[in-house]
Amino acid sequence: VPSPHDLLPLTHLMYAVLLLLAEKTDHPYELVRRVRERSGGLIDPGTGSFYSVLARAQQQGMIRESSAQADTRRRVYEITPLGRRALAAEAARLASQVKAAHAVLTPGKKRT
Amino acid sequence: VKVFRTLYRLALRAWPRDFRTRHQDEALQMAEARVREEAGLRRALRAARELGNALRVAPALPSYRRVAIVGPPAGHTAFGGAMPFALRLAVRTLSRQRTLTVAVITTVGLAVATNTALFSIFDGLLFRPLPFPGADRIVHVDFPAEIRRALPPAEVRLLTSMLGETTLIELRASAAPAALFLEEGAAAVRDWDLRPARVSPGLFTLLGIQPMAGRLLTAEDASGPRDSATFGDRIESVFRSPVILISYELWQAHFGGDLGIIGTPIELPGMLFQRGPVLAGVLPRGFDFPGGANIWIPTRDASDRFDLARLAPGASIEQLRAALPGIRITPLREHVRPAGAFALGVLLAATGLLVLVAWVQVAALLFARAVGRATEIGVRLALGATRFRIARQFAMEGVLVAGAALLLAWTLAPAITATAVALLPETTTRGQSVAPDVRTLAFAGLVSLAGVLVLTLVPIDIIRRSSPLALVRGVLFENMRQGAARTRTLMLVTQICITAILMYMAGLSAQSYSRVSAVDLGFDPGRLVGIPMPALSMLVGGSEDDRRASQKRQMQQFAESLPAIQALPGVAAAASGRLPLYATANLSDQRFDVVAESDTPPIASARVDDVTPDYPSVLGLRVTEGRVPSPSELSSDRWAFVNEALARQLAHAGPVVGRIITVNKRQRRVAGVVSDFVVARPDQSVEPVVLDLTQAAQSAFMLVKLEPGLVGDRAVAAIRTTLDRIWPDRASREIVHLSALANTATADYRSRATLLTLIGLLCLPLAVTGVTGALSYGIQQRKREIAISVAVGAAPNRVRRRLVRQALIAVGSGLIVGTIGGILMGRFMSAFLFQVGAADPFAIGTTVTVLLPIACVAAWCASRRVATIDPALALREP
Repeated sequence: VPSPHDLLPLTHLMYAVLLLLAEKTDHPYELVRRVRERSGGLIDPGTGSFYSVLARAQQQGMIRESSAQADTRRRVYEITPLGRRALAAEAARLASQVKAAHAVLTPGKKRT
Repeated sequence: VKVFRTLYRLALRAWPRDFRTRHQDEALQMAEARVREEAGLRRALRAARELGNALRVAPALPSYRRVAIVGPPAGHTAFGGAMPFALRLAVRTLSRQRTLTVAVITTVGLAVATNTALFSIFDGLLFRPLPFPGADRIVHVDFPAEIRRALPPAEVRLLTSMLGETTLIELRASAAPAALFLEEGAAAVRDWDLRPARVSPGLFTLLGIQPMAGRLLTAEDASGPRDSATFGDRIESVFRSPVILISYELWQAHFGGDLGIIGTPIELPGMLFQRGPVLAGVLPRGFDFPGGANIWIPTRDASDRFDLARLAPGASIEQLRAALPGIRITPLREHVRPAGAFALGVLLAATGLLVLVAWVQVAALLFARAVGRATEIGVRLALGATRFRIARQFAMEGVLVAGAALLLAWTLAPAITATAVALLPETTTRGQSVAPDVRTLAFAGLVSLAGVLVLTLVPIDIIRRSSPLALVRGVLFENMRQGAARTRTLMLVTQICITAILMYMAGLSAQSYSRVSAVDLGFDPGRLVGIPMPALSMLVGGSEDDRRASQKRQMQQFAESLPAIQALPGVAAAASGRLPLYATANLSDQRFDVVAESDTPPIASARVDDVTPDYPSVLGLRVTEGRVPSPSELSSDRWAFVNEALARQLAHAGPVVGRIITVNKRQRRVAGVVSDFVVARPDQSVEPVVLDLTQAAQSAFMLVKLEPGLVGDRAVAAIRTTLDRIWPDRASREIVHLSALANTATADYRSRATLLTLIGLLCLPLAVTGVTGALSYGIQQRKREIAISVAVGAAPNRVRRRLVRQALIAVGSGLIVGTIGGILMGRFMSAFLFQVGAADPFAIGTTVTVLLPIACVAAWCASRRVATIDPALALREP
């Protein structure tokens, strides 16, 4: 079983996709829309890039096609336990990064 | 959005195949929806971004199948690292099919070389600017002698002085070929290929030419005894050696590029100099103005006698033309370009057709190749090679083939260009630098690039249409075999058709040329030479007496010339008058109305010339009516001869001889009628001519009939010496052979016929390859069928005959369509044809009799392959 730490760091887009899928299973078009909405338009992937991320995530076992598909023409993706752990690990990594940044940038501790 | 959908679908082709099959519909939908979200310019931007994005991620997308056997080592990306591998593979494939590769490279190489050569010629003759800085501001100025004579002397004087003083002209110079310095018939002249020109020192400044070594000519170099102020200077200038410039090529070829000879007297065999000329300098490589000159001899700069001018800044050629009516001013480029050169446009179209033939040929060869490689492609696809990878390999092979072809073309092009230029008449190519250069190389490169595209697209198209399984079984185009055969036949028909069109055009031109050459000139140019006489020059400035004296002296010189030349040994007869066929472009085309009775409308318009009474007999014209008036009659009345063309029109109103006609406001009595002769161009109909008879004609030309044999040849030199004595300050001693003029007059027809025949002949080998290829393909495709007929007892020869017959049906239909196309082209060409209709039986006959037997032989030879089919083996094949 691959360790989630091998998959870190996740790309911006990958992180966003996993986060959204952790919320609820979804199909690609809706996912892209939500990614854009959540980031306030900051993350706006091209269709190709988005599929490239989906394909990689699927290959690495972080997401899979949902077995419960209402519409056969639309593929619905869900997050796997590995994906969930990778997401958690990434979040923790980001949190420690944020903390490190705070330590440097807080005025009281700034070197002169 | 529709366009975007198509493009996006194309872009998705770059994705790994199975990934694409899984996701492409969805991705397409999504991309399309996202493009729809935007509007206007933002939509276009979004679309472009989506397209780029799809292409960019393609290499990173996973492929579920792994490429086995023929694949690059792991870690190579599809775009970058795999190239050397593809290259290796391409080289291996090409060297395995050596015959085919050589055939393709030779075909393409030859076609590109021919195209490059012909393009070089067109480029050099028509499009390339003259190699002088600011060449568009250089004009050629011509004050034709005929117009000079037609105008009142005062106006001529005025125009001459205006020409010399106008501020619209910045620089003035003269340049003319000067064969007079060459020793007639000397072997050295031929060996050294000396082409002297007399130029004024200002020429080089005007053209903006700097010497390659040494110095240019100065006004002092050009000054003669008459310019010197003191007696001592005059004596000195008489004994001074002439100063000359030579071309870089001459310097290299005969003086070994020796810098030491500059500034010293040099020896030029075959040149008529009184003392050894001093070499002032060497001109840069390639400079050969005017008319291919390689030795430049100075002549004085004179404000009233020049033929080249550089416009002053801000002045336009229109202004100059408006300021100097009657003087012919043409841009130098147009003057130097051969008059009929634009007719070469037809030939440009013909070369276009040649490219087409070559590419149809290449497409056909490739088609055959792709058929042969169906199994290979099928196996690779089945093993998991992506279509992109296979296409890339074809592209790589295409690049190699096109590169080799380009190299071959570049090696052959100069030779083909030189051959074509040598075949063209000198009048067409004179003074032009015609050689392949960067521009023509770029042209050839572009043509090759088109080839790479063809080489890549044809196989890709085939892969696109078939499944791996079908390919492995060697079946192209499932259910489309008929279509493939039809396409192949269509290619052959197209090719034969284009070849036939070209050959037909060549036939038409050749026919026109032979008709033009066979035109009855009305006289025999064989032993006739023409000598241009100096135009009466008007002294500008000076007193009235001076002017009168100068005129009187010139009259005397004119009067002396004719008897002096008539008296020379070797001269059979001489007369003064119009020189037929001479430099038609420079003669004024002025015609005058002929009025038979006063107060009646003019009955014709005719050319009018002053001639001496024996002009018709010197030219060899028959006097069909009337007679030559006696000297006493001549002195008492104005007499004229008319030609038959004019006599026919005059005859409507009674007898012609003795009739008074008025031409150009002057009355003359018709003394007789002479047979028609070609006045200007053999390809124009005979026009009415009036020959005014005068005892002492001051015509622009003297016409001399030489005795046959050696005596006559020697007389040419004697004529020169005589004229030299009578006209010591004469500028030109050009002697024109009328047979050479007759050649020049047909030069355009000859060059067209030559080039078209050349193109047509080059098409023939391509046509042979086409027939052979088509037949081989047919045999390959119908192997089974042939095997069965042979197995059940058909004689191989019968099978062969059947195959050949089928191929010949295609050739025949190509010929018919091509001939019809040729006739249509002939209609467009009619301006360049002479006495030849668009549908010419000779041209049709030539096309058919050349193409058909060649096609028959090629087909019969190609059908030999039938004999190699072993029925037992062929039938066992899947």
